[in-house]
Amino acid sequence: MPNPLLRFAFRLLSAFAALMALVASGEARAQTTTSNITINMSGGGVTRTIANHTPTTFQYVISQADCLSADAFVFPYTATNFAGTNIEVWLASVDSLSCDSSSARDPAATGSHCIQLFSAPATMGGTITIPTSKIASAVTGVTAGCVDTNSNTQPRALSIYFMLTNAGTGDVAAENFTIFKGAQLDMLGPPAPEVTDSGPADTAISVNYTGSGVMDTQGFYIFCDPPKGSASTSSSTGTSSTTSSTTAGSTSAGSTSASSTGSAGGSTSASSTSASTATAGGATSTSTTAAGTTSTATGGSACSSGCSSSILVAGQVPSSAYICGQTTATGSSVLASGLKNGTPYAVGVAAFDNVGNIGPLSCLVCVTPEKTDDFFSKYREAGGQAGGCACSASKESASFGGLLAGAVVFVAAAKRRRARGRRR
Amino acid sequence: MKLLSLSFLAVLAVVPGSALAEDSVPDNNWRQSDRGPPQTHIPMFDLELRFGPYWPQVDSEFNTSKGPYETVFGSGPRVYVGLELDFVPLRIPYLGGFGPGFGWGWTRANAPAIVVSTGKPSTGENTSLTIMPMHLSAVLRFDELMRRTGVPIVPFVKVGPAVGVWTASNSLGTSQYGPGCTPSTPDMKGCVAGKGATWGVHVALGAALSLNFLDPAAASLLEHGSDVAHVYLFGEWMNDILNGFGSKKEMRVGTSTFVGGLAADF
Repeated sequence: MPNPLLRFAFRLLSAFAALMALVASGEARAQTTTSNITINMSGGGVTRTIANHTPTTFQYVISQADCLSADAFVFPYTATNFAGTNIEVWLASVDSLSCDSSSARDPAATGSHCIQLFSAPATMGGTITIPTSKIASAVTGVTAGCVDTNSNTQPRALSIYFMLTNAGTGDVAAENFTIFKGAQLDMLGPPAPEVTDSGPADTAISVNYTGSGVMDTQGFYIFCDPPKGSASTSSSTGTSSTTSSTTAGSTSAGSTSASSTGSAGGSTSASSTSASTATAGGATSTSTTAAGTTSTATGGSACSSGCSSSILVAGQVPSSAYICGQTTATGSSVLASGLKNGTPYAVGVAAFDNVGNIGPLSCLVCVTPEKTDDFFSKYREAGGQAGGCACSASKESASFGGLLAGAVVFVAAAKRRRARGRRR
Repeated sequence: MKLLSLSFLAVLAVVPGSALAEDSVPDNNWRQSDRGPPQTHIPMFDLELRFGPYWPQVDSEFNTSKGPYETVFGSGPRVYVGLELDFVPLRIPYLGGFGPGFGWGWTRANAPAIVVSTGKPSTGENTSLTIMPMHLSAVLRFDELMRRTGVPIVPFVKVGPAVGVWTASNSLGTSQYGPGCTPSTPDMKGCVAGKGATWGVHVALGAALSLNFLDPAAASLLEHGSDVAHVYLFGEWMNDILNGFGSKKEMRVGTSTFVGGLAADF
């Protein structure tokens, strides 16, 4: 082909033909994988009726609170070639199951199997609404009451199968099912932190702890008994407790310890408590308070503080009604504020994750807030008159701004003078 | 006339010779390469990074042996860190650069609060006093000494108005004082917040040692690469007389101390 123009045209044609062949083979491949049922992720996509976790990474995470609420997942779908079929939704109770296999869907099968969440005659399209609690409780280890008995506190991916089936028997062909893998189950909060130190402050209690660094920990709550704002003193923050505990191989039963802080009935104790180390590990301890209330704290390896409460129990997930302070994931101390001086409190720390699950409570420490003098009090009591009201915030800003503005004016004036000098 | 002509020719004959001699200067003249390019500009800015001990003079207001500051924080010094930027565009003949300088510093005293019933330090609450001394000074840098004699020392003096912005706080936030005030009831009517600003005067005397002599070539390259003419190690006596000019309503948060640090002019 001596003509270069012809040669160029031939190459162009060849390239075009190759491109067309590539497109055709791609289409063929796409056709083999096209499913007769599709979950529409475009538009609004899969939504939830109540739960609204942000950012979008946590959009489809099921927390314990979600499970206990009336929240539901709404799946929009489109079906083709569906005549005479049912649309069924199945959850793989463990992620390794393939629900398209009839044996995996057999309820009589031993071990884990898929759980049916929904079934109805197939239509061309629409939405499928499945309660979140139904999804959660279908997972192995989760009870109908939304209690996750698994030990893994990290989120677990869920595989939800949407299938077009004939009476639910037999294996489902590849083109007749699709899997939604966006949902995750995370119903357990992070592990209990370890209280290392605590102390009274003015209308507050400070608690130091270790335990940050767990992957999905979002922060820490401090829990108080009696709760913040409560006028009554809980009888459970007693002075003496009988503790029997079992710790990995060694058992100590019936030891009686006296807490150095607080007194039953709410009388003020002059002594303050600084509980040194209180550990919640993996054992079981049973505490009997002075008031006679018995509580079992699972998950504690001998809480050494000798403090107990009938409401707050080490190793158990506390009620959010008793939160009296919080801090961030990176913190190592948390302050319970708004308390009453002279009132003994039982306090413990628990971590919470990024979807709001609260983890088990640390060992408790009993502390009585008391009046303190800070530097400013000492200064004023000595006769100092400096200080400002709320309005004085602007005074300091004005001082700083004044100096800075002065500096700018000086620099500007000097520059101008220099520029003038250059022109001359 | 003949002699003059001969002299002229002789000069003509020598000049090309000297030009040839210059051409023959080898490229590896170590002195020339070590010296680097000459200094090209007179710096007008000076940036200081400052460190030093700080003793807030809070207790000087009280006629007691041990004032509230010492009672809570003790008598030891606190760490002071600061930054200062001087702009010295004006040249005073035989003296040096003159202009304004703005300085900002930070220091903090922190200690456990004191339990009222026992008088002992609290295990659960801390109290602190944070001070940010700032000043706007007239700065005179006697750099002509270094420029004219080569002695790498630049004395300086700074004088100007200053303000110390301070905040007293505890574990719950800014301290509150007054009847019925607790840390949990901030800014309640009748409560005095532990924050304020104290005006005064800033005076400083010091000297800076230019470190360029340690490696003139590197210093020269630095100047041509980044306009930094000199890097200094400096020390100064600083007196922040922050007493509100005698006002009783302002906390005395100034100090008299020695600070040091690194500086660079550009």
